[in-house]
Amino acid sequence: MRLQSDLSFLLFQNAVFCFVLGLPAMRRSLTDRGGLIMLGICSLVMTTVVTGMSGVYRMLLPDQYAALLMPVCLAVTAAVLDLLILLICTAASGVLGRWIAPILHSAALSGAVIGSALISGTQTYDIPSAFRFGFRSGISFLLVCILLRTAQPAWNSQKMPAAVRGWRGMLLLTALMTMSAACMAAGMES
Amino acid sequence: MESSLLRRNPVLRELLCAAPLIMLTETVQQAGMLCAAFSISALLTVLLCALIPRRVLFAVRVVLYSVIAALVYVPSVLAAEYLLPDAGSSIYLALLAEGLLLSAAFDSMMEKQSLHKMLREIFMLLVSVNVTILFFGMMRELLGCGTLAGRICLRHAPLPLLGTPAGGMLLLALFCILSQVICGADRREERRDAASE
Repeated sequence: MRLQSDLSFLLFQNAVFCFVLGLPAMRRSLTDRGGLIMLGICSLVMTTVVTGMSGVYRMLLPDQYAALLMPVCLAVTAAVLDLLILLICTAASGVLGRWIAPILHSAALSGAVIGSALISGTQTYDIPSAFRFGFRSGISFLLVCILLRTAQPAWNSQKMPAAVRGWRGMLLLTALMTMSAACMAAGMES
Repeated sequence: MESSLLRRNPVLRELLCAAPLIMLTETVQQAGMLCAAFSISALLTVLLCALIPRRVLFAVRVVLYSVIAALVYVPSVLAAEYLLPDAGSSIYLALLAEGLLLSAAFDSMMEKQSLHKMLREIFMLLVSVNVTILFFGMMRELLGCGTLAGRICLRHAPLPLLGTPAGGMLLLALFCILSQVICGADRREERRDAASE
């Protein structure tokens, strides 16, 4: 039952297919050195921590200001986490730090991280469930990154028309996958 | 202007505000609210971020930019709700300014030395993004619902799919491809003109 719930979450409450989050970061990652998979991994770590922290902030912030102040708290958390991971990576190896910096910045500013944390406010009520929501949301984003990376030879192929090749092909493919997920969700409901 | 709308349009080139654009522009009214919120948040974000000295370490500057963008969410949401109270606010408005930080247009504005040049770039950015958002909203409402600003224009909605997020994403992809086709045709024409001269 739990497995079924997790699988349906990955498909029907997917950060990309359902909430359209993280598209600019995915487009930017194609020009960065790390690429889509690294963005997915960084986003997974950040989404889990930031969404989990949103559960903490919900308990601390006064109700009347929570909606307005929550994005500020989440942005600060994502930015501090970005800086911390960067410091750890740079301390381990200067090359690693320089390589991961643009990917980390993209992930920290990505809608997949802050958007998931904000959406979790409507679906979770305590800290552990907020962490779980963040982890599942991060996994769903990583899954889409892996799917798109697997299909990269097709949408980046020279056989594709020039106007559709590259990130535009990726966006078109994402739109078609979103439509498929919506159709499957409707089929399951009926 | 033509270059800002097509060749350097951050929505069609870098998917700036993709999530709010797809989720919040089912009608022209919603598109108007998004335009107001984006204009306020982009203007405030760029002006406040420009105050941070360039000598500050880049990693620290990113942190400060991100915090400023999140702080700007508060006045932009309040203003959007005041301007269009019926349209309602959304969590997607919080992603507007954060998304701007990922665009090359923002990097370019931060590199500008003079205030005049920076203001000119902000103006062009706002024009290009707002025109795109409004056009996108119009197309979605007209084709998805058969109405325009609430008035019935078509007896049947030709493409109800466009009212859904998946349809919005597909339309955005088609807009991006179309802009690339037009730009590609322009470039080929320019090259042909240059060769004939």
